[in-house]
Formats: sequence, C-alpha cells, structure tokens
Amino acid sequence: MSQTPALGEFEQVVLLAILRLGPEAYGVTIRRELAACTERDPAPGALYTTLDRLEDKGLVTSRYGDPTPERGGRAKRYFTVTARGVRAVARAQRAYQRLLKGLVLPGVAHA
Amino acid sequence: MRSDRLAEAVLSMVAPAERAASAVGDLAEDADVRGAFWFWRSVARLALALLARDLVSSALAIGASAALGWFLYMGISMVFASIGYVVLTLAWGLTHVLTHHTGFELLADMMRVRFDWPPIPTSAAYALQAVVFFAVTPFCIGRGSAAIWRGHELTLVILALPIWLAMSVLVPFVGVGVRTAPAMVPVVVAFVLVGLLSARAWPRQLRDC
Repeated sequence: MSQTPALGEFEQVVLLAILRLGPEAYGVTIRRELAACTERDPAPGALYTTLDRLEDKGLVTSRYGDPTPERGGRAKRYFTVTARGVRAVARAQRAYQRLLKGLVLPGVAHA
Repeated sequence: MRSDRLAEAVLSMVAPAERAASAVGDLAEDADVRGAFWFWRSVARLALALLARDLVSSALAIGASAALGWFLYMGISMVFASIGYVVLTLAWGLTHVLTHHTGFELLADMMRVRFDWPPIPTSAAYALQAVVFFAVTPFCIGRGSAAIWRGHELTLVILALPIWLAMSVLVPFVGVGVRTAPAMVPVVVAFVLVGLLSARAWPRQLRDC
C-alpha cells in the first residue's frame, strides 16, 4: 500500500474546500470557498498549480463538464477528492488535533 | 479590454490546451465583476506560475530534448552545407571549364577547394546558406518538435536558449565548414519558436477567426 503523502497547509485547505463543495467543485467555486473560509483571496496561479500538484499525487481527480456559452464555449474542470486524498487530509487533521491537545487558543473550539 | 482567445493562446503555451481553456473560462466568470485589469493580471500570474512549475518538473526531459535538438540542427545544417558545397563546386567547375582553362587546371582548383567565384554568385550562395542555417532548419526543427512538446512550447524555448548557447561554444567544431556563432543562437531559437507555433493546434476560437 502506497504511503499517504504529507500535505502542505494550502494543499489541505484546497482539499477541504473541494470536499465541502462536493460535485460543484471547480476553479471558481473553490476559490470563492477558500476566500469565504480562510479570509484570503488565493492567487489563480497558486490555486491551479496546487490543483495540478494534487492531481499528480493522486489526491484528486478531475473531469471536464460540458462547454457553456456563458464561458465562451469553455468547459469547467471539476475536481473530486480521491480516497487517498481523504486519508491524507484526515491524517493531517489528526496531527493538528494532537498538537492542539492541551492548548487554549482564542476562537478555537476543541473536540 | 479583455480577449479570452488571446489569454487562452498564451496559457496554452504553458499548459495543455483543455486546461488552458478551462482556466480562462474560470477567470472570465470573475472578470465580469472584477474587471479587465484583474483578468490580465491573473492570466499573467497564472502563466508565470505554470511556466515555473513546468521548468521545475520537466526541466530534465525538455532540456535533454533541447540538447538533442542542437545535434539535429548541426547534423541537418552539415548535410545542407555538404550538398550545397558539392553542387555549387560542380556548377562552378562546369562554367569554369566551358569558359576558361584546361581540365587539369580545373582539377587543381577543385582540389584546392577554392571557392573562387565572381562576387555576386558567391554572395548569393552564402546568403542562401545563411537562410537555410539560421531560419529554415530551425523552423523545421520547431515544427517537428511541436507534436512532442505541445503545451510546453515556452518552456522548451526558454531551456533551448542557454543550452544552445553553451553548446555553440563547447561542442567541438566538426569539419565541413559549418558553425553557428553564439551571437546567432537567439535568432536560431527564435525560428524554432516560430516553427513550434506554426505547427501547434491553436485554440479553436482563434482558428475560427
């Protein structure tokens, strides 16, 4: 069984955003979800290269939807987190939980 | 002023065409609200990010391909030079023997390999060779490489420039009078890019213009 890869901070939030969006996760919605939840507007360059990197690692898959006239006949590229991606983000979250144990941080609720 | 077609053409030089189109579609959705300046700034930043990623992830493969391309260019150039030299020498010899001296003198001249033509034909021959070496051959190499490196054209050209410059200095001179001066390498690489772009499948929106 291949080892679950370690995730960077931005990779984690991108994976979580895709999971939250479900079947509607594509570039625009992912960027808006990240802006709403992280209070920062990710640069398109950072977002798309991260999505490509996640796909290369096997943590997400992508598929193209139908072209739409609103986008000038250009298709949306939808992303889905793979089982490997879910394991990777869960592993990262467990690590955060262990690190948070015993700490009291303002605005952070503990399990 | 926004041009989605131009943006897609730019991005398709650093990413597969479908991904470039999808990214432009995404940026276009937000550009209606955020404006043209935001759109072009995002296209530029995305293009640079994709180019940087391509340079890091594919540098070895594309660099090796560029190095091989140099030997291909030199090989083709030497073939052209050899054929051209033989043809021109024979043509010169024929006109010489018809208009001047004995066959023995002709043979002696040819053995000295003296390119003793009148100025205009000599200049024309050199000009033709220059066009072949510095424009036609690299253009053909660019077209031949286009199918292999579609979506990586810009990376290939960026890597080819320093590699070909280095090889023009470091690779030993190999007979037949063919050599590319380092100062001409940017011109050669420019024609490789022209060849690459002339062969690629442009985004359908541009083709439909």
